[in-house]
Amino acid sequence: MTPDPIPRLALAHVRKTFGVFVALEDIVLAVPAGMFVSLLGPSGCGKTTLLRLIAGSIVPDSGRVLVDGEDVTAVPTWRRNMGMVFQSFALFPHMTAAENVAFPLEVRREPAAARQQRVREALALVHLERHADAYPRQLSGGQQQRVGLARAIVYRPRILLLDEPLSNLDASLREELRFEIGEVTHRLEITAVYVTHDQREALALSDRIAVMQSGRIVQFGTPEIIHRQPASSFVAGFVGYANAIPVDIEAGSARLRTGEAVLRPADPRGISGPAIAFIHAGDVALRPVAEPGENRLLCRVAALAFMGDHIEYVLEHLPGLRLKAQVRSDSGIFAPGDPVAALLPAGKLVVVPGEGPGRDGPAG
Amino acid sequence: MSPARAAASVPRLALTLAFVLFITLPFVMVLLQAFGAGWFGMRLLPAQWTLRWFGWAIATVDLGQVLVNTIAIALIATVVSLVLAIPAAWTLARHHIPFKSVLITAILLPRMIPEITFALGVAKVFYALHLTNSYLGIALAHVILAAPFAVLVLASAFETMDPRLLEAGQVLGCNTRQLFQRVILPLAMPGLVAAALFSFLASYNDFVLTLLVYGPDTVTLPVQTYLSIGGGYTSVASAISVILLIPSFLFLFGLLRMVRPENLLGGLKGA
Amino acid sequence: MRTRRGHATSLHGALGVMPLLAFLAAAFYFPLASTIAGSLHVQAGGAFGFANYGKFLGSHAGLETLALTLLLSLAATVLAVGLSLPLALALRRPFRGKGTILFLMMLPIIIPTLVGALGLLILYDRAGWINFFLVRVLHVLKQPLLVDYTIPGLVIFYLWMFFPYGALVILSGASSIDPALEEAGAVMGARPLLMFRRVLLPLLRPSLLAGAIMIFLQCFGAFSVPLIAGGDHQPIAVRIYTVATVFLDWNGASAMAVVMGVIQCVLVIAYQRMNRAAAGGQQA
Repeated sequence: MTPDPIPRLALAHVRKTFGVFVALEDIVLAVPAGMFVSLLGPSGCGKTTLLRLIAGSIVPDSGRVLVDGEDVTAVPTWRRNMGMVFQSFALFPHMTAAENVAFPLEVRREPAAARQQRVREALALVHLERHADAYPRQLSGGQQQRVGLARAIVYRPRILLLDEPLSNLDASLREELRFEIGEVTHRLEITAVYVTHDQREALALSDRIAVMQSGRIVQFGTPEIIHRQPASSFVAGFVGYANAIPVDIEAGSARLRTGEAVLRPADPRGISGPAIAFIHAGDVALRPVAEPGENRLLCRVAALAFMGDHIEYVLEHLPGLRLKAQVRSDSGIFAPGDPVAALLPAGKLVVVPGEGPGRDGPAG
Repeated sequence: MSPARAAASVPRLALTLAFVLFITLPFVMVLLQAFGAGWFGMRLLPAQWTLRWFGWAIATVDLGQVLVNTIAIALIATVVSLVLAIPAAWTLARHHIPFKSVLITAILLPRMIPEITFALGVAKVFYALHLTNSYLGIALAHVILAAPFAVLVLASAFETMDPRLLEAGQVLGCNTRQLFQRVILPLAMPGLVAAALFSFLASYNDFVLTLLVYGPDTVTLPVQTYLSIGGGYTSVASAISVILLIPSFLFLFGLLRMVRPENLLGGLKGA
Repeated sequence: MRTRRGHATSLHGALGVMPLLAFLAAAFYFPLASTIAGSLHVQAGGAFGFANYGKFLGSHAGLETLALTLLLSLAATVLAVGLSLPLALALRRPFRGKGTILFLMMLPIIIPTLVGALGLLILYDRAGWINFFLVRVLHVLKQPLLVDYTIPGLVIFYLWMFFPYGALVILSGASSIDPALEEAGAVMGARPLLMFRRVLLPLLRPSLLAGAIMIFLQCFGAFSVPLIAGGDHQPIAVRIYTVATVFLDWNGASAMAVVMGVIQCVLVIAYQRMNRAAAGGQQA
């Protein structure tokens, strides 16, 4: 029987405090070689602290950091042989793009010829060969980050760390660069740890996602699992479910805690007792007034916003229980005050055990 | 803390201590000299503590009168500086004038070039106009240095005053006097206070210019300190220095009060 | 209000500056002009010429004064920059007591220079604390060091008095360097010393130059310190004072004042150029 391969990166019960503030609480993580892992969470959840701890800029209070089985907790940053891409790009302003990319190779005393070759390859990988002699201030944000990426992988580090690399870019550029990051890391088969608060980035790029909240990892899994079986209301809210309905589940049937309606989710996940039923705004179907029934809530339109290709409705089932629905604009418009039936398909309902919505609530 | 980190902080502590000593020791010396007696030869501390040097200063160099001179001159300089600076700052901050940057340089020039350069000329002119032995004369000399600083402070204060507040006042029915009293004055008060303090301090502390234009009736604290040092009376000079230092330290502590909370915040954010 | 009333206001608005300008014209600019005029005035009745400049720049005493001033200023500037650079680097990150350290750093600038000079005189006196510790406590020296009234002593005093001017400039430059740069360098494998040499120092160069010029500017114009603690050594500001009040050669002193003023103006312009370079270079 072949033993489990040693993970490329492992964190064993890592804890970090700043004075009385607990930034990281008992972090356990194992990342096999070649895997792309995202640390996903809101500001202040500790994801950047964790990344910097892996890099070595921060020293844990307790716990260990292991790379290929070797304990590097006491190893200074410059000996850990990792790569890092920064939110602020962190390019050296007094060096050209090529000089920036060459810098880590100079540090490693690579001979000039080999250096030039590798710099050229790295810049070609990010499609910036023609800008090799430009200074950072002459490059756009997207180009600067590409240089940052090239610089971080030119020396083939064991692990690539990325700290919200797209946050400083215009929205239009983000998707393009996100695609390139995915492509480069995939092509080089590099192990990557990616920090972001944007769940779309995490879902699109990662092999695995670690959702973080208040210094802990609250769920670790594939994007599909995180999305279809969120472990808590917080995770569900963070991953983009706009509607959170408090229910009581008994024998697979979810009765709303306020009112009479009943929902029957396709997968009750063995839950019994108080729970929250989540559903995306885009999965809610609207029909003109119909008979009450399962997975059907009779509402009144409270407000609507025409968004071009779709319409966003706010529906009120009961005072205090509102739903958001997103419908394509060519399927008819309801006016405020109209009665409407919201259909919640069984297969689109996700239930999570618990009393109330997470601290951050459903994402808008 | 790991032993490595504890070891790293010992040299840092030593360096910090060395720096603190480097800066503060001269002041400590002045204090020891001012409040101590029998401090000659190589000793760590004076033999006794005493206030006699202050008494000597009052008796032999008329410290009381010198103090009165200094404060009176500083007050006059402050008033004149404000009278000149307020309209100037208002104009600079809120009106569109041609050659504004040239104007600003012309106003700030006295603070940019060394005092001795223009003190010569000022002395010659003031002597000719018999201004050298009067409070007003010396105060006017100080205004050369104080008014530009006041203009700087006031112009920045006036610039941040939102013109819409004034418009709102007018719309709500204030006449000019009311507008001034109820809207402009309260908004401008912090800037006015700062400008007044800076002007007072500039005059109180001034040495070079005063040295060239003073007369027997207008000896100020800085000049007297110099005269005492020159005469070899280090202890008396130190006593006078202590009095000379008081406004500067008060001012710095006031500044520190305003800076400290910011720094605390920075410390928390760093976590 | 500004744009609406534009030109119509500008004339009567400009009245506000008039009182101050009139005062400065009479109390500052006229004396300046009179000094320049006086410098061109040759003593032997009525004639105008550059004799006073010749007397100053051509004489042994005059050149000696300039050389002394330059020597003191250069030496003190080098030491002051050497002190300011590590100080600025250490003060970049927030830490407990940073406010106190900054306050202390500002002290030599805020207090009247006279008092600082007096304190330094006492401290470095033959029987002062420095010598006390060197001779009596640590037994490093047999005889006390002569510091007061000497040239090396003046350099030390200048250092204490004027380093904050440069330190503030350098600190401002150091603070504007993205801290992520150093982290990036470390992750890439560069030790702190290498980062300092290849990244920090090049990026700090404009601030270092601007700070050095600022310190030099202050040293060059120093008056109170050498007046009290210079003894027989008289750099240019003190010499001007002596020539005017002791030798009563007002015109000769004026010529020296003009020379000093011109040199200082050149330095101010150089400083502003450096400052602009420092601001521009950080934009990347």
